[in-house]
This record gives sequence, structure tokens and C-alpha cells, in this order.
Amino acid sequence: MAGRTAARRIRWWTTGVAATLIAATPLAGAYTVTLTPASPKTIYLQIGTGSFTGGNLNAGGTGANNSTVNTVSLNLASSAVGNGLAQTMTTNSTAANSFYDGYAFCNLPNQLYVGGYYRKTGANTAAAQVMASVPANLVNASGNTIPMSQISRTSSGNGDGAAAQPFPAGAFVSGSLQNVGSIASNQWAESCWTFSYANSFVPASGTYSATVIFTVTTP
Amino acid sequence: MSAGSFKRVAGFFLVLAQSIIWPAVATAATIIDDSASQSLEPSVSMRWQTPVPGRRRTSADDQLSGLVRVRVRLDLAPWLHRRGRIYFSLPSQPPGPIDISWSTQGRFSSGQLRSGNRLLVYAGPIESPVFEELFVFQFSVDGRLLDSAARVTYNFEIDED
Repeated sequence: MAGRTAARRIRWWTTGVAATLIAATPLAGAYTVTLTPASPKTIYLQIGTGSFTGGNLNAGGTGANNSTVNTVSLNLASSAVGNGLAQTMTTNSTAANSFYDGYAFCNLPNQLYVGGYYRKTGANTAAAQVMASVPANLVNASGNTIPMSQISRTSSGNGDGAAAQPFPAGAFVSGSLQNVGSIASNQWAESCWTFSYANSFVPASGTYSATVIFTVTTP
Repeated sequence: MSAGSFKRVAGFFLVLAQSIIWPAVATAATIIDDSASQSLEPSVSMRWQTPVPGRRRTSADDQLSGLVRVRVRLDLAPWLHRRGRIYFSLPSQPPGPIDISWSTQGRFSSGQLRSGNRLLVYAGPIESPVFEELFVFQFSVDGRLLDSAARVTYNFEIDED
């Protein structure tokens, strides 16, 4: 009997050891938090005159709508028409300073400010594309035309030196939807366009006009 | 079996029990039960670290960061009246490299680290069964990695002295 009692006690001890082991083993713990991207996709494009409220972007300002349609124009003396010498055009835009920080980036009236920014999260970091819808011709009141391909542009910016411009130089392609630059994700992009008229033929006299519409598209 | 032999058997099991328990607690980093912790915000709202994108692209332009307050409660009852070193650990995990910094109210040390590492936040006696402290965590992650909400797990570990 004494042996059976001892055996029971041993089993009890064994159970006690097991219980002690379980109680002494800490519960595994880990805490989980959820990171939620709360920065909305943002796009801003300004061709010529634009608007910001609350100061420049680096001061907390925010881009705003602006319905102004600027003009780039040229008055050509009759003696110079068609002489093959390219003529620099000027703009009525008053935008010379960058809304990024107020820096005097373009020189009026020869340069047209083009700028904007694009912010987004996620793996798709493709750039936003700026497109120009270009009519075939400039037209006067009599219906005479000048091909839009007569107009080209150079691109630069004060302080940029020889840096590549996000909105590069080029020429309009008559009657096309053409890419005129891009805005990389999470970057402010800006350039100054200087337009010139090729002046390579003699059109009928008159005032010729056309409207180019710019759009920006995000991926 | 005599009473004397029972004592010898019991003594054997006592030694066995100690030999099993001690290595489990004393030599390996053990994750502390922090299931009683409570976040004061439902999630970490991740916003651009720099409100303004760069005129020329830099890495900072893509960084998102956000704050969350967590009332950390660590169940230290298994180590009560012992001495230990407590570490904050942020394992490597999706969405990718995560930088975290935190401030505390003083019992634990403030610090910062990148995921995949741990940092000592307390060393000393375990004088109460529960350590409680308000942590303010700041998470920072490359925004290009954060398409949508991501769950991030951290833990506290203890090495007993």
C-alpha cells in the first residue's frame, strides 16, 4: 500500500510539474497596428496664369481653379512677312513666378510659364502626361489659314542652366493630340516656353488665331 | 516505498522541473504578452512626410509618416521579482522597410529603429506584474510601397538577467 501511495504522489508531482511548466511559459504576444495611406492623389497643372490659395506650395498653399485663357501672339510687319526669319512671340500671361516657392522662374513677356505637380502613393510611379490638342491651322476672318506647325517653342527656366526640362522644346503638329511633357510622381515640374513663328511663307493679310487645349492625365 | 524514498523521488522531479523551466525563460528572448495594450487611434493615418514635393526628385518626396498612441500593457507576471532586459522589436514584414520612432513617459526608453531590428527599452528589476506606459509611435514608410492599408506587427521581448 505504501508503494501505491508513493506512486500516486509521484503522478501528482508529475502533473504538478507539467502544470508549472505551462504556467511558467509566457503567452506569446504581438501588437498590430494598421498603416492607412491618407494622402489623396493630387494633380495641379498651370499653363500661363494659375492660382494658388494660402500662399505658395512650400508655405502650405493649395492649387485653385483659374479660368483664364492666355494668348501668345505676334504682330508681323508687312515687310517681314514670309522672309524666313523666325519671329519670337509674346504672351499676355502675368505668371512669371513659380507657385512652388515664388521664385522668378520665367521672363515676361517672351516666356509662358508651365508648371504643376503630381502626388500619389503606391507602386505605380508612372508620370502624369501633359497633352496638347492642336488644331490644324490658325484661321483669319476670311477663312485663310496658317498651319500650326509654323509655331515651335524652346524651353528653359531661370536657374536651370542646361538641365532637362519636364516640358521640353518642340513644334506643334498640325491637327494632332501631342504629348508636350510630363510630371513625375511626387515632383513639382515647371518650364518656361518661348514660342516662335517660323514665318516661312506669305499668307493672306489678317489676324489669325487658334486655340490649343492642354490636358493632364494621371496613370 | 518508504517516506525517505518518496522524498528522493520528489527531489528528482523538482530538479527536473527547474532544469526545464530555467532554460526556457532565462536564455532565449521571450515575447511578452501585450494583448492588454490599447491603441488610442483606430489606425495610423499615413501622410506625406514633406507636404511639398521636391522641385528635383529626392527620396524624401515619397515618404509617408503617421503617429499612433498606444497604451502599452506588458504582462510581466512570469518574471516578477527578477531582473530583465525588455526590447522593442519590429520584425521585417510587408509592405517593406519601416522606420519607427517612439517616445514614452519615462519608464521605458525612447528610441528609433528600422524593421528587422530590436532595441533595448528597459533594463532592471521587474517589480510589478504589469508594466503600463503610453507610447507615441511614429511610423515612416516609402509611399510607393503603400498602395492600401497595411497591418504592421511589433512586439516586446524580454531577456532575463
